[in-house]
Amino acid sequence: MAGLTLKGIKKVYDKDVVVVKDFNLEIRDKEFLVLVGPSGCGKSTTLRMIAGLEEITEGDLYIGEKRVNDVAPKDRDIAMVFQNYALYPHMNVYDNMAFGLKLRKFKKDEIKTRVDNAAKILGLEEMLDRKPKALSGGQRQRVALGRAIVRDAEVFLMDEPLSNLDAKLRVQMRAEIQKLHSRLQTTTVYVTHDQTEAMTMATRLVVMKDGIIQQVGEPKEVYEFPNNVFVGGFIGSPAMNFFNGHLQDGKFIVGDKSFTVPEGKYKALKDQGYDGKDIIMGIRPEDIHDEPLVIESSPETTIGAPIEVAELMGAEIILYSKIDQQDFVARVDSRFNIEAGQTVQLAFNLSKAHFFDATTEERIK
Amino acid sequence: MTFYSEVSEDEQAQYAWFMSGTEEVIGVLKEQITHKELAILQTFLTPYEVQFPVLTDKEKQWHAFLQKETTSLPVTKSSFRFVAFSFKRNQINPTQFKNAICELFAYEVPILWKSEYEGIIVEEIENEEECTSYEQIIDILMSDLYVKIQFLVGPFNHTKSDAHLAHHFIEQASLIIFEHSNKSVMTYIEAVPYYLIYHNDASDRKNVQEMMLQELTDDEELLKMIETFIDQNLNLSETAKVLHLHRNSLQYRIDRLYEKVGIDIRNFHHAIALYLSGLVKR
Repeated sequence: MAGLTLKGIKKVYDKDVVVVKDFNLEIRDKEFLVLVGPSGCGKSTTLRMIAGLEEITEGDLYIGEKRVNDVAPKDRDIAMVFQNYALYPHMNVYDNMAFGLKLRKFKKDEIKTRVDNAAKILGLEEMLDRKPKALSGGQRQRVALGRAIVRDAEVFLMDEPLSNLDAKLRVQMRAEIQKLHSRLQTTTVYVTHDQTEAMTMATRLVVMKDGIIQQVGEPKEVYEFPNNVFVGGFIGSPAMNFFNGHLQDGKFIVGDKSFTVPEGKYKALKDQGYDGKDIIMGIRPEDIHDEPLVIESSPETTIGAPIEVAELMGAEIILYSKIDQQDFVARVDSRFNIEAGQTVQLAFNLSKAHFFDATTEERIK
Repeated sequence: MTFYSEVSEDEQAQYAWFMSGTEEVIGVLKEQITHKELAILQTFLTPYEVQFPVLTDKEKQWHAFLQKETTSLPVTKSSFRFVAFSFKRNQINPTQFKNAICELFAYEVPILWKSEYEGIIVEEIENEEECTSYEQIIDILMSDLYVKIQFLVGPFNHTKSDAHLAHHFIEQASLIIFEHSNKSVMTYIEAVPYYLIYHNDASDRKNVQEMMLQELTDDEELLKMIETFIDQNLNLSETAKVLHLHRNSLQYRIDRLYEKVGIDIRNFHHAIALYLSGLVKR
């Protein structure tokens, strides 16, 4: 097994289109690292540079202690799983898993040992004679994983491997990949645009936008302390609410509504010169409450909110409302029956809120 | 002496290769023969270039047809198409590529090699058969062969004249598109603008760029929005989703673009003109 080091990695296409900028990251041995971000953010390009399928314009890439910028992909000791789990249609499962090894002229006995082992790990032992047509989508994706496992590589690189599966299967395969990782302990770099996948699978995640790392951290840390408005809005579903407002004398003012900022937070903001200035407040939907007890105890952060849409999700209700023409979403317990058109008292837990600079959109710490 | 198929890729250079009378490729370890013996073998056998797999009958027929040495179209199914490919030089052996392609199609697909890293696949298909998705097979090929591959997929053809025209277009367009686009799989339709642009006069191209983009030439944010809007088939909601913008904000930016340079990218003709000028800029 091995860790990876990316030092000042840059990728430029067509002479002047910069898709990855100054990418610095240490990926630890045995780690499950997820690169997440919207399409076009450079995550797949970064993965392909690690694989050697894209050339690195600038910077250094190490696998373990070895600099591999100029090492051919086949010599990097990596295995790849892509989004399309297409298989060789006329080969059975065994041959599909064995083909990459056959191309590399592995001995038959060695191929058999590796394929049997991978089949056992993935529960495919009974299906080795089957052709891809006779497999379900999930089983095909497992074969695709098996094709990577037989490589016995130091690093797994996975590029949106679950994107082509339906929602139910995706959840199931998510768990299978996690189990696989805890069993094999192979350093894995996983690319996804799906923040739920990133949150649930990652040991650490890297949030990217426009080719730049926005934040690196454990999922909980990134969720609770987003570096900027982008990360706060991208990680979490429903997304974090943002309000453009004004900080004045301990209150955050949005239109004709005002919220008392907790003393500690206000002091920090004031010390950094934000009193009397426009700032952005970010608050998660679950930090907006409708329980009478909370409302009674925090009148200074409670507003009457006209509900535009109420979505019953089972145990909770998602409420859509507005303050001063700015949309927000609250996730509340479904004990109380709330319907669109009602005006509901909602208490904002400002001790959980974050404040961001209105210009740079960076979190004010 | 050994057969070509029995020797690993790494050991191939240690052998002198020859084509036997039965069209089998055989090799002799270079260190085991003298210069004189090598010269004798070269007299009686045809030296074989390791880089290319042995030509099949079908491939020979295609070469003859495309060079107009024969008029007989060497196809057995109702339609066929040319698919140009290119992969990184010196990273895989053409035989490995051919083996993988043949396994995907389950028959000996003719491959017309242009060099040891590029060529044209001739894919035949019956009308009722399901078309091969190159977007799907490229992933399996790359995960087995460990090399970046690009495909340019041509139109389906049925006649001899179609064949010559399509082959010429795919051959020419692949030269341009593999150099200028980073996409793994492209269709002939996507290649048309590239083909048109790179066959024009350079000064004309510059004029088009300046005329279209005006002061927007350096507005990266706006250019990204235009590119995404076109990529998303001029769909406002999808574009807003991809750019993480509110639909109304995107609408506002599109209106501003119209106010600034008079281009309405919701209009197809305006969009295609912008698309082409964007390509020229690249």
